[in-house]
Amino acid sequence: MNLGKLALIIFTLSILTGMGAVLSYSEEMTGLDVMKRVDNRDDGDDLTQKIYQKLIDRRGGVREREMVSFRKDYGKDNKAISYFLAPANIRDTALLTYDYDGTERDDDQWLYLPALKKVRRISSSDRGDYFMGTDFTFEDIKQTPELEDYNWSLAGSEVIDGHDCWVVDGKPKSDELKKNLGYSRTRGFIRKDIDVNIRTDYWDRKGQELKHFNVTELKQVDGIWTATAMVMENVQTRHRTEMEFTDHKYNTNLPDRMLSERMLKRGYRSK
Amino acid sequence: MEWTLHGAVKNETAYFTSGNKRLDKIQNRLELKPEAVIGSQWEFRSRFLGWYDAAMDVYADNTTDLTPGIKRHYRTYLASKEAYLMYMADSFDFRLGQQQIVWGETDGLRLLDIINPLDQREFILDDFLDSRIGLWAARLNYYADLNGVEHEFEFVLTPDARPAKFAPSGSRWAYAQSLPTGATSQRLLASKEPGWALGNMEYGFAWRSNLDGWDLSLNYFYGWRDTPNLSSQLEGTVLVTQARHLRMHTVGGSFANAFGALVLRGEAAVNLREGIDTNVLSYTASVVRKTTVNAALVAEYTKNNWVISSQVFIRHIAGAGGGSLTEDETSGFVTLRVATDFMNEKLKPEVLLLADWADGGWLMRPKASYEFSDAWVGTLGADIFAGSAGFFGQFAANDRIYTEIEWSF
Repeated sequence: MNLGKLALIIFTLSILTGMGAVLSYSEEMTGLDVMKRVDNRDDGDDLTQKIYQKLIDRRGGVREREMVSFRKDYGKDNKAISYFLAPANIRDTALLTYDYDGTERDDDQWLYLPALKKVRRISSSDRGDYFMGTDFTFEDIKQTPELEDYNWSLAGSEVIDGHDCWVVDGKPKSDELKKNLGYSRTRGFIRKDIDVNIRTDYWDRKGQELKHFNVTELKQVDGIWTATAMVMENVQTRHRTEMEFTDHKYNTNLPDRMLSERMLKRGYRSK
Repeated sequence: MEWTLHGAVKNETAYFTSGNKRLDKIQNRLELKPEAVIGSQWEFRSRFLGWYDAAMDVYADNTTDLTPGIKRHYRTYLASKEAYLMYMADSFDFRLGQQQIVWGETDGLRLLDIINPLDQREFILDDFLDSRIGLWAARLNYYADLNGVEHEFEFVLTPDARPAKFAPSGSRWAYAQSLPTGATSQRLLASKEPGWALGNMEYGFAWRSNLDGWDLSLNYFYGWRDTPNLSSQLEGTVLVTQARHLRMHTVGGSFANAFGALVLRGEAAVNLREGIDTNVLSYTASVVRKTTVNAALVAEYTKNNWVISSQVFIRHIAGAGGGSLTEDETSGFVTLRVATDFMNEKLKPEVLLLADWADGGWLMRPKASYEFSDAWVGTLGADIFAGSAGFFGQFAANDRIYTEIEWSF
């Protein structure tokens, strides 16, 4: 079922890196304050985009994926549908996700498997699981982490690629959460001018350095800051996942039917 | 109009490791999927499959389970699996042409998945996508929003009431047949199969929705039983048998929901007036009509990139009475599938176990696939049968190992 999880990237990864309104520099700002601003950032009411993904192993072997995705917000919840366009052996696989805000209700997910010609209800799964061979976990592709899962602390400021950034540490609140999320600690670097997370470092459950996430290209699309390229590199396996996002269309008033089970069975063909 | 072509070239080679050890197949397959986008609302989709099995030209001396007729049956294959036009509107989809229409929630258990018959040339070992026989049909899926909830209503109509196909008699994948006491030989009469006629039309209806988190469906289908009943009569010492296809009504439903890492799925189907074979050797009494109740429950648990999925299937013949029926009053299967992946999903091992709890036979299917690149995937696997008789046990001398190498484009 990991195949399904990959598609979640489609709607959410760019948002992971893009965040909120411009901060006013305040001495009283806390880590949680920063993350709330990230969580509240304008990411459009709906989004259509294409995704190109490259999985690179330690020997330089490359696998590529192409997808198209649609996401629409319903208050703090959102619905998203992703279609795999390439390679040919996973073409027509599609994932529908109802992502509910908070941790009280599990997300709902349905996967269409062309080999079975069936729409399958699937588990929303462990947030620490890796999906579809990428270096992103289910947790990584959340729009933002569930804020109540972590103790957030502001570790200071740092200049990254010429941009002044908040440095925010996140530590899971319990050992159980640490186990579920797969991390003992994260450190995010958030641009102060646009509240966009441009880098995150991860440590595994044992406290060992695990992987690094970097936004490699950031643009304003329809007035919304959008990560158009990013990379996640696992330093333990030396496996890397590169993502490129193109053909963004924000706020096109996607009809609800576009985010429904029937579309899984139809499949996506560019017209 | 914009045409695209996808497909795959694949070699499937299998070797029997029990019974008479020999190659089962060296299939060199070509799959083509031409498609066209016709304007904004029309599409054409199709899938064609063909192969040449070189193993049929390896054993020139084998005239027992590889007779010329059996070799002809297996040597080449060419079939259209799907070829249909699809019209997509805001509130409905309409498909017209040769289709595979799949109902139900279970994996490989055909309770509600009864519309398309199967080509069982390799028992049930082939992928359903390949073994399903495409039927010419009209299908309308209408979507209605009622009180904020989407409901789907599906209507299916097919004049193409084709039956299932089986391995030829005498081949290693043919179902075992035993002669009753007093018979020394068997003569098969031409089977009575439904053809293309207005009166033979199959049709069905399904409703689907998601209510309070539950995926639900209700289904009805009036069709022909895909597997034939056998009317037999003893004429002297010759058992004269004729395969007959009988109509039946199927009423059922399905559900699915997720509870954290656990997904529960299930389906039930009641077949009304299903034909059941008896041991009575008489054209009129060798098949009787019964109501059968078929139910299956699936529990699928996903954790740390491991998937453990188990199914229980029960079939009960209402009012079986006496002991003249050829199948047990209550029968069923259990299945267990364990799968995971390594190396960022390049390596995917899994094992599937299917057990027939009424007869005690089972089938184990371990396999591992490796993704060499986006286009190249290789698979190594085995099919291991156990038991002395019954659905799986009858193939105990057909254990095999196999390799597959596929290039898709």
